[in-house]
Amino acid sequence: MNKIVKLLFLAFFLLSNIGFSEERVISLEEVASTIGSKNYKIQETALEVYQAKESIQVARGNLFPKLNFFKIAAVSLQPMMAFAMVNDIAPFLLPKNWIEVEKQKVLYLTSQESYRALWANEIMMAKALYFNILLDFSILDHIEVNQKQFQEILEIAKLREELGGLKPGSARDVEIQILALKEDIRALTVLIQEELTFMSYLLGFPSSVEPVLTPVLLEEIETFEPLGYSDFEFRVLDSAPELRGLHHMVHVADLLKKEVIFDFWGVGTPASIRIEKSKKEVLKIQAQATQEHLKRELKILIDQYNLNLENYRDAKRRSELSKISLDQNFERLTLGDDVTIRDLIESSKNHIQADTDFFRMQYEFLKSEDRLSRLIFYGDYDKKPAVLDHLGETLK
Amino acid sequence: MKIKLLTYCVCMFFLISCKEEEEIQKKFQKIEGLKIALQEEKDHTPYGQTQHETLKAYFSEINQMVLQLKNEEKYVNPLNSFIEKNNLEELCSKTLILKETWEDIMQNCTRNRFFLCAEEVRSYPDILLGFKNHLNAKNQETFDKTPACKDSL
Repeated sequence: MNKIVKLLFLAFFLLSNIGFSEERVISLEEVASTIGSKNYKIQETALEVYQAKESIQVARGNLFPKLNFFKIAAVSLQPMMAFAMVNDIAPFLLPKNWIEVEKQKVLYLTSQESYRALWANEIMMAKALYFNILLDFSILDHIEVNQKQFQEILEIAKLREELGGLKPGSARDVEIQILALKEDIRALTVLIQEELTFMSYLLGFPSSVEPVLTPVLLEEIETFEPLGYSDFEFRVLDSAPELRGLHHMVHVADLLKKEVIFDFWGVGTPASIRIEKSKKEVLKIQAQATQEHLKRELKILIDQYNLNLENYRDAKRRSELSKISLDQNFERLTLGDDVTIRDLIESSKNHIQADTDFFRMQYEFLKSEDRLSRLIFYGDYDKKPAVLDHLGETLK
Repeated sequence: MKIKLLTYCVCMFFLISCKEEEEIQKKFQKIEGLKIALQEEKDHTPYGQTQHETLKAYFSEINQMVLQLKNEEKYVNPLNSFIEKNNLEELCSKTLILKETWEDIMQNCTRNRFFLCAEEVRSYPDILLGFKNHLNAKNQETFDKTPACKDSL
């Protein structure tokens, strides 16, 4: 609860520095419903989310490896932290021109599934951006706490240096670290600002409005059990629009009178493919490949989910223990015990390491959970996009 | 001539309506068979491919029937007349599952925050309500009084 208040406070603090004239508190559910209600019949609308994803990925990729915080605390920079955006679940067919969809009645079902895949991927990416911003807020919050701790250590080091209990230069070393952390705070604030601007853009807010994100509650995780691959296989293959689209296409391949152009979206660069009668066998092979791709994706996700679940409990305990250790060192120091500056720095680093791992784990878990939901079309993904229903009615 | 034409029309009407009633009867028979399969599989947990497919087959069939009633008006009257000619209690107990059973199935379909069975399983109460809404007032009343029917909702 304390963390939530801190995060909200931090968000408001940031916004007041950025200078947006209006704030709007939003939740993860609102992001999903707002993005989900957009009309992706126009490809440009869909591309907005993909472009936002690319830009944020580049910005994070540039900044994170340079953050002093990771070197100071000897925290290993996990790839997820820098390149934490998600990719599509599987490649899917996308008609070259949505406008033509209604004319191509025979391909309606394929187009419908393509639309569903695209729609779901857009929601997944927006949610991933939401998780990223929360993660970055947590890191920023943590660096600030850490900087304050180092400030306290600096005061002690200065005093001990003056009294001759510490070798000269020790306080200077601590001060160098404080300055490096301050630099990180400024850089991370700019990144968060950029991410919030993109979130605002995706949600269709006016530029003067800045979204304030509501933290996600994670308490429930501890009650969860590890998942099994076989439990999910049926649902994944039964609900995957990427696969259903191809199956429809196989059925209508013989009926096609003219060449129809689709893009393969999702993984890698979109490549145009032409679908005509003679391509039926290719489509069957493609469906088989997509099925295998989905199974592989599921296997990886289940392993990741279980790993995160297991790590979550350990990371939480580690964070608690390292906090106790750090507090004890400060307490001993206050009581006049012989605690070296090195001990203090070491326990502070241990705590940063444990805490960083803990909140990284939380967001990794949320992301793997959301990706699994997308894979089985559940939760935010089980609501059919409104525009699609409308499209269906016009075709009757 | 006019009488002949009228007789011909009446006969045609009955023939067509009989054909639809026959279709409905076949549907109920199919659902009955699928329910038997479901009863055999529903307690085999955790659900594997066979159980999932059995559940999907049963719930999809009911789903399809209600969709057909919604989309094709011509099936509504034959359905009502078929129900009137048959014992609704027997029909319900042979084709529908009790809400309690559905809730058990739903529980077996859930892991952590995920739902793993076919989407049709989840929509059973809504589908059944849709089915009831296509019954005439008299059949609806019987439906509400019959335990095997009302306890499914």
